[in-house]
Amino acid sequence: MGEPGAVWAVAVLPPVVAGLALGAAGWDSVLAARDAGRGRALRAAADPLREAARLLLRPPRTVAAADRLLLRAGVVLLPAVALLAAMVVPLGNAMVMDPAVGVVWFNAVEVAVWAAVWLVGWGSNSAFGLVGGYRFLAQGLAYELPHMFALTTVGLGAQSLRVGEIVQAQQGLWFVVWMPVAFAVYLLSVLAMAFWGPLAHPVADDAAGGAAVELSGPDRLFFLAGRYALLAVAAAFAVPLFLGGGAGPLLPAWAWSLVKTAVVLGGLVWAGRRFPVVRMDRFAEAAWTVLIPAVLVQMLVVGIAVL
Amino acid sequence: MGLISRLSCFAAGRPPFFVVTAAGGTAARLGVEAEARERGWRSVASPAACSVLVVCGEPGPDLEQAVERVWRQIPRPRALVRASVPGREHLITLLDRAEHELAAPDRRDSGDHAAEGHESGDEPGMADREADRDGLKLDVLHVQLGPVLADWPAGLVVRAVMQGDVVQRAEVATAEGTGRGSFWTEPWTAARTGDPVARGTAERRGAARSLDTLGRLLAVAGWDRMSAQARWLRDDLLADHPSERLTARFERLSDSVGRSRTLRWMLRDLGPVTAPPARLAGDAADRLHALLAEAGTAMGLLDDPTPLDPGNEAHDAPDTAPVSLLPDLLAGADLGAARLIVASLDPDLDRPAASATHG
Amino acid sequence: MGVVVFWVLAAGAVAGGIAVFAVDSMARATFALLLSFLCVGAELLLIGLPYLGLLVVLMMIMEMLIMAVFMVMYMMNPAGLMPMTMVHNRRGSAAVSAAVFAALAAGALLTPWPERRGVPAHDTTFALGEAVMGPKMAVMMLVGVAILATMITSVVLATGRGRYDRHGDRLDARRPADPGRGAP
Repeated sequence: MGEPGAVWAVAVLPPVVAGLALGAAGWDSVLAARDAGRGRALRAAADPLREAARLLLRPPRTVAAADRLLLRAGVVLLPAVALLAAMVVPLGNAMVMDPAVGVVWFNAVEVAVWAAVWLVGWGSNSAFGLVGGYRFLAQGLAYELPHMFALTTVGLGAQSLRVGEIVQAQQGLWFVVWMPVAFAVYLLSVLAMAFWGPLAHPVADDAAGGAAVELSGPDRLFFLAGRYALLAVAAAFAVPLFLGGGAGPLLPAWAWSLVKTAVVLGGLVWAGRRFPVVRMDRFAEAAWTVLIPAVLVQMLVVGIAVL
Repeated sequence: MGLISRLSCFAAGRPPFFVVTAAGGTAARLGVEAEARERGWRSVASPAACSVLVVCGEPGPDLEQAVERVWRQIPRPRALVRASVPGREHLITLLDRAEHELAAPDRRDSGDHAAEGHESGDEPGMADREADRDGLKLDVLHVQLGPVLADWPAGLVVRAVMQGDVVQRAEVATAEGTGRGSFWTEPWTAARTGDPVARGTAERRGAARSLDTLGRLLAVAGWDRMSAQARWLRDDLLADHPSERLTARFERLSDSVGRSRTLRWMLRDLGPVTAPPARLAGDAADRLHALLAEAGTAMGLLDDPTPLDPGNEAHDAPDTAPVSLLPDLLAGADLGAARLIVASLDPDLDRPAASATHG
Repeated sequence: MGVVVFWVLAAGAVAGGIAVFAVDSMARATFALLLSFLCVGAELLLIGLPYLGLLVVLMMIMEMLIMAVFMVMYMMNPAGLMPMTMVHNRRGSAAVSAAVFAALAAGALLTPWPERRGVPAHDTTFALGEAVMGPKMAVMMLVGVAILATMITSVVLATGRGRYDRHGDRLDARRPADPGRGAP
């Protein structure tokens, strides 16, 4: 069913990811402007573009005794992670590649965010940056295992780790219908890996921006754009995993992929604003004692159903 | 280079700004925040992220030094706004000028007495070693919280000894206020000196104070949506909007915040206080609910025309109780918890004669 | 092409390993080691073991970052670029590592490697799963439980506080008494 390696998929990938990321950022700006009671909230949709132009025109600020090598490595790693992860996300039937272990590829690439955030936080030579990097590691320990089990559940349901075959396995019934717990856990881990919304503690304002405390100019642009791109790609991956991929009436498959992705992404951005930040000293225990057992039970149910 | 200049013009709109407030600068801060909100400026929590640095009030020598250091680190194009006195017309001129400077970056900017080159001066310094709360001997770092910190009480400085993100010990210092008293207690002070003040006017000010604290606590708790709504309501209260619509908006806000289980989960057990005064008793979640109740009562009395009885409650006495509690409450809390504890106590250091070191 | 990539990755892995001892910051040493492991993971991808290769990448990133937590505990200098060395007892360590290297290299060169019998499995991931859940199941179960037991034991030994400290002597406290709540 998939057409891995289609040349146009390679060409289309970066602009689609950028477009989705920009859309998410714009949607968030509109919501923020409405909440703050600023007039003509819709105009705020252009704020991310404005911010991008502003950051491009500014020199990066140099911090004394910063570890610039590690800082830049982290800054560049974040958008790179988003693009590498996007390679196994199908747009309709087309994807850059469809390896036999596509789900593991996504997982392995996404874990590199741990390194990216920590490198940026540590490299900044600031106590707040250090705390931000530290917070992301605690967050990673809380979300990564439930996330892996959610992915495993999908693989078990489809009896394959190949994304194309997972989409095919949902021709009768979308996985979201009989794996709701795994879907919910996956969405939560999307927010966590993109450190967004209630899981934005690593870059929260209480630590003056946390890991991103010293970023300015193009460095900041890369970091923030990478973060939104990651949010968009991880939301897009929910479509082949749980929402039947490009399946749908009337519209072509690629259009259905985009529509479903936009709904998931827009919903995440909207829902993310409705909660305060969740701190890991409170949340980690819940993640291990509630989320992991819940998703394991889900896996058991799926396993029995598959047998 | 038409493209570049048009791009920089576009980029100059709705700039991100960072506020530094000196003790006694509350009125100016409120004016700046309200005007910036109207213009769609976005407030940011890190100087590195801002284009406009706003200094509210009249900084003392220590704060002035810190401001200059922060200013040196901000890359161009940038603008410095010194809002030493409140007054809407004055602030409009200042913010207009800042927008203008950002759009024409080749001009020298307003704060150019500072030297060129953006080297950060506030590096954390070398680590020492101390026993941690489990008795392990680990590295410690000396970190100063304030006075240049977003959503932080003006005039407060906490010198913390940290291991990882845990505050092991904290020393608290407060800056000298201007001696002119707090913006928040003005109606009571006026009533005491014999000026006729309507009760509604004072309650309006009191409700705005509660919402300011609420907005700050929610911002520190990372709930931008509710924090923005609280601040919007505060600005409308201070702009003397009619009370009916404000009360309805407050009810909605109070409902959403008061009922949030996540917020309660994150705030409970933080900074438990047993000693009086009553408004500080309990943990941070209790203080949040006391704050909502206090604001609710005040919101119901906005139109009360009876003259204000200044009473014997010491509205203009120094607000020392929260400050003296801080060192004990902060020891052992991680940075996130420590910020929430401070925000939930929110000492008003603009009141006169609040100068002491505890720790 | 494959050969070129193999040698580039091999050289990268060795260079990363050397860099661990050449750089002067613990953070850089950690990530040099990570780079070395990532090259090894990519080699596994190259020889047709995608699952194992990606697993190495995944686990090594997580492991190195957990190591970074300990690093922060013992050396809390963000960006810590002060002169420090990863080598102690220069002569002794050089001798030990030279000897180990010689022994391992000799082993690799002198072992009579067996001739290949049969062909590689069509789907190595599937073959791996079958081996783990089939003939090698007893070993895997044993090793898995042993690793888990080791982890739990070491955490129990390392922490001063147990569940009775958190939930009371009768384990009936609804909320655990954790140090993070305000008092140490």
